[in-house]
Amino acid sequence: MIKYLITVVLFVASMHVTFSQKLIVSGIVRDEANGELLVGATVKDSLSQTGVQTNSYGFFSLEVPSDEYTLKVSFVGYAPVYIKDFAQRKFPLEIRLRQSNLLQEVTVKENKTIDAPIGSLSIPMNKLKLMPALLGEVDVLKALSLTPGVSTGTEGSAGLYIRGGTPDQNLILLDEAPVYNVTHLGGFFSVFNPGSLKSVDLYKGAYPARYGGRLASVIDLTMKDGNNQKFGGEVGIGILNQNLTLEGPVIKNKASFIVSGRVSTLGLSSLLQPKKSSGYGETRKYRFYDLNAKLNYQINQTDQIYLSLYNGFDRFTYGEWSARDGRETETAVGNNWGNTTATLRYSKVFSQKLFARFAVLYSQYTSELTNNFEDLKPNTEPVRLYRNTNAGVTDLGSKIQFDYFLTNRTNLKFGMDVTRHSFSPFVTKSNYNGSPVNAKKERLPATQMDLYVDAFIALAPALRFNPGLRYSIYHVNNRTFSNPEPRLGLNWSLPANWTIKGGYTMMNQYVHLLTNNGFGFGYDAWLPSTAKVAPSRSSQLSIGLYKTFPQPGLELSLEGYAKRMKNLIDYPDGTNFTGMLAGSWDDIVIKNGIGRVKGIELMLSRKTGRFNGWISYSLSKSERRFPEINDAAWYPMKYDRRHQFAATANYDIGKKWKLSASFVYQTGHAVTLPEAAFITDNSNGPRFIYDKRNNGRMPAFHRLDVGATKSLVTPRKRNAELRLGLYNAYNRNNPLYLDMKTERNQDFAPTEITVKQVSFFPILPYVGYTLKF
Amino acid sequence: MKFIYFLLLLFLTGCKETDLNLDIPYSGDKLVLWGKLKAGSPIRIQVTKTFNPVGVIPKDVSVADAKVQLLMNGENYIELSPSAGEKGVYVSDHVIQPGATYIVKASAPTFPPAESAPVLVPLDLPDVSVVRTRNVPGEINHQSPQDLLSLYFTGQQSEVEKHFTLTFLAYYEKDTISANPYGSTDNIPAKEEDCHTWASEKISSYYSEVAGITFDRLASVFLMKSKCLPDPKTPIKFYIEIGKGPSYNPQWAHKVTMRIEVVTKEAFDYAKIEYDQPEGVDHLVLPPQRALTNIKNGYGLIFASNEKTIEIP
Repeated sequence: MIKYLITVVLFVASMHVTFSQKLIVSGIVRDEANGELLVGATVKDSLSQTGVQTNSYGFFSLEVPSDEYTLKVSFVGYAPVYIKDFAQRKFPLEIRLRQSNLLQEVTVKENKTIDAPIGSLSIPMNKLKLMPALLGEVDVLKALSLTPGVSTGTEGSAGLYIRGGTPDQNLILLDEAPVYNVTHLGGFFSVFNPGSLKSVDLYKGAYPARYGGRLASVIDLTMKDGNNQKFGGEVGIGILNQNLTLEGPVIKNKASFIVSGRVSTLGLSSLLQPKKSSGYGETRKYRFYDLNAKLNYQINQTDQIYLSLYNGFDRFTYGEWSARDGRETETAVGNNWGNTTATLRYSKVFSQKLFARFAVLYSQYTSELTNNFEDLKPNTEPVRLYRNTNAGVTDLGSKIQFDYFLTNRTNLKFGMDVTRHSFSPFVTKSNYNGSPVNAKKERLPATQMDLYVDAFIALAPALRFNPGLRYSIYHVNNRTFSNPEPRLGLNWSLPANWTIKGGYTMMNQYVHLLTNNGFGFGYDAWLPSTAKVAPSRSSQLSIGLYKTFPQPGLELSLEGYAKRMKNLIDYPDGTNFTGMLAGSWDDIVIKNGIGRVKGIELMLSRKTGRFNGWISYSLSKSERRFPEINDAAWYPMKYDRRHQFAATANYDIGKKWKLSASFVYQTGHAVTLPEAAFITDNSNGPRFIYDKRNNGRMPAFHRLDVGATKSLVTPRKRNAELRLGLYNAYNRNNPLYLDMKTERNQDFAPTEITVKQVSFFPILPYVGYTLKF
Repeated sequence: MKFIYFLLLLFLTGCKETDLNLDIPYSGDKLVLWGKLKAGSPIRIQVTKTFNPVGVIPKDVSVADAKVQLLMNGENYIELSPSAGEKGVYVSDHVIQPGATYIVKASAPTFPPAESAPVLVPLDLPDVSVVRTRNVPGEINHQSPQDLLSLYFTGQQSEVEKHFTLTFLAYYEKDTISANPYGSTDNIPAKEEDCHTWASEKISSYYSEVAGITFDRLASVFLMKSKCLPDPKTPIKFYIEIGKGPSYNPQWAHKVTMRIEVVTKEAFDYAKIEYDQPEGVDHLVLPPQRALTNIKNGYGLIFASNEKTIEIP
């Protein structure tokens, strides 16, 4: 495969060198107001209408027959710019676009051009902020769950189940650094502060070859660069969180920064639980924060450097204290988790046709379960005992990618990623009796290297072909896994604004998530594939049909896919990894699982106008099979949902008010129900017999959220926004879980068993205020 | 501050429990066998039947017309007789032999015949010495009078994994109740989760004049694996409650006993599943566990024990 690709590339390159006598124009496109790079802007020559798009660093390279042509540079929501006499200028051109007519902004720019691969989607952050949300906390991952093929688990949780995959099968990148745990507050919110983000791109179908390492999807989040023109910021006050963003130039037009922080109000709850000098009591403390920062410096027209940092942490502690006669005892159980990422990138325009970027990445995820006991007695030595179990992963890596714009019809992306992982699976430190005081950290190192090449070839003006190959090598514990991952994309534009797309992709996943529960608390461990647990693998075939209706501004997409997975893992019933030794996890998990998923996804979106939004529908089936579960028969994955429907709409009422609403309907997820019950002498009531996993269904889930945003101007002429809304507007009791309840008579004898559904979120109003300066 | 109270109130009122009419297919009636084969004691096997997991619980789940047999060492059949006093209970005067292997078979009209897996009655008991430190401040709820028990497992550890249970009872003038043991912080929790669990066992029943109901009196049972024991010089430690009643005038236990059992692995595993089985909000994060049974074509558990009870000096 590699030989084939190299041959094709060399052939095309030689043809280009032999016959090409055209003028090459390159440049970087930015937002005039703040200097942000514009990704996906279109650059065309006015006569032939041949065009290219800017890459993720705003760079483009275009061949034009001569300098008599005019270049048109455009981006949705911005006034187009026409450039003449470009041959007289120094390359790369510095092009700045000005925002215009906000009403024309897109809501979802899925399939914006025929270049976008099948199953990809972007949500602009300015529209995301208008969407109604739980307690007014806008969340980028929850917004994605309103798009086809994407769902959350139970209500409130932020983990995404994409095309039948599980949350650990999503590669989530923040400025290219992987983020291992993406949830705050038991999964109710993601760690991504919308105030710090510029864009979010989702790939769930044909993945570009530059991405790899997960089976289900890639979610690529890009932080804002910071305004390099003027200082500004915003402060937000919400029910759960408060946030502050500051940005501005360090050197005007050359260097800028952005710092954005968010802190939870819940931390104040500890003030309500003071300890007393005598008595007994409980304390519950929870708090989280996250901090994003980015600095970028444009060294000259061709070189730029970026430094991105993220740190976020959650701390939850439950304690019991007792005090009497001067003696105080306290036990505390805590769960702390968080991520730190750092990315240092350097981009360089080597020539009119060659763009490169180099990145050094750091990512650390740590989760900790703590047990502490303290006994303070007068006139005696205090007793302090601890037992802390830590699980985490630290990545240090580098990436090199070259974008080579061979011709207007052909460009290549190729590069290499190298990552050194260091896993710490359930390392325990304790000074309890019988435990070593300072246990040596048992770290498990692994090294991953990936080579890739993506080719974008326009076989004809309407037919684009995107073959790619990724070759991954993973070394752990004296064992090396290596796997080729072929990728293929095809985009064919038909008359009358019809487009057909297709894609095939193969992915390998070398890390596995062991989680003690499924609801987003942070005591999870990521572990590498081993000799016993082979890397997971998936292959997916997808095909789609698209239609654009320019006049009303509608876009329709219909995609179908089929996916197979193998070497999946699951847990035996009742598995608890809390005290597990680092070396035993791969004996305990159930191995050699396979999965099959198929589905159809329909989406209709209106991207322009005062009334915009989208509706989406997914029909899907996701199943698993393990030799040791359900007698090796196929069974539904827990969050297999046959039907999913979502609609979101925004409506601008004049200049001040914007209304928004979203509705979601989902088939209930699979649940394990008892097949019988029994009573014995010792059972103290009925005991339930569970036999087959996921043998039942929860009731359907549906909910309507509505919101309104009012634009304000303060007396000091500052812009501000007031956000109001209702979560679960018609107060639907959506079941969060089922509980088998035993009714008892006056003699306390069990008489009847009923099924209860427990719901958490009734109709919830929210209010938020953001001041911009 | 008011805002936080409001927020908490919002969540509390939001948590709503409603009846759900869910169709749960019932797998059909099967026999449930329950019995502890206690070395040196006569045989007692309870036979009940399964029922629909939703709806009215049958008033009588006992199976009174079963034929129950015990197969010892694969040879001798012992036919059990229905107990005169307890419906659905089958007994025999045959005394359970340590080191023998038993299989329980049961059949009844309209039920598929059920059969237990072979159960080996434990042969040996561990050597344990107990040091009692009286009236120490406890680590939990230290307002009540407590003693600290240090247990030394002095014998050689067998390479074969064994499972032990410990039950502490406090004897008062009028009644005998559980001594409510809990593990010392620097000791039992230090062992891996897989090493131990807790269960409860009915020890008697009592009539509450206030409620006008007869309640079961339960005792806490601590279960552990032999591989988790420390070296013979290192004790495992429990606090027990040796007083009850108001703190200004407590009633003291005049005797405390410890029952130590060696039980079969199934007893430990069953207790662990029961202890870890999700209840209430646990369902949000933990799936229910498959019921442990060693009964083919039925449910329940037949396990064996060898035990002794010592009075703690």
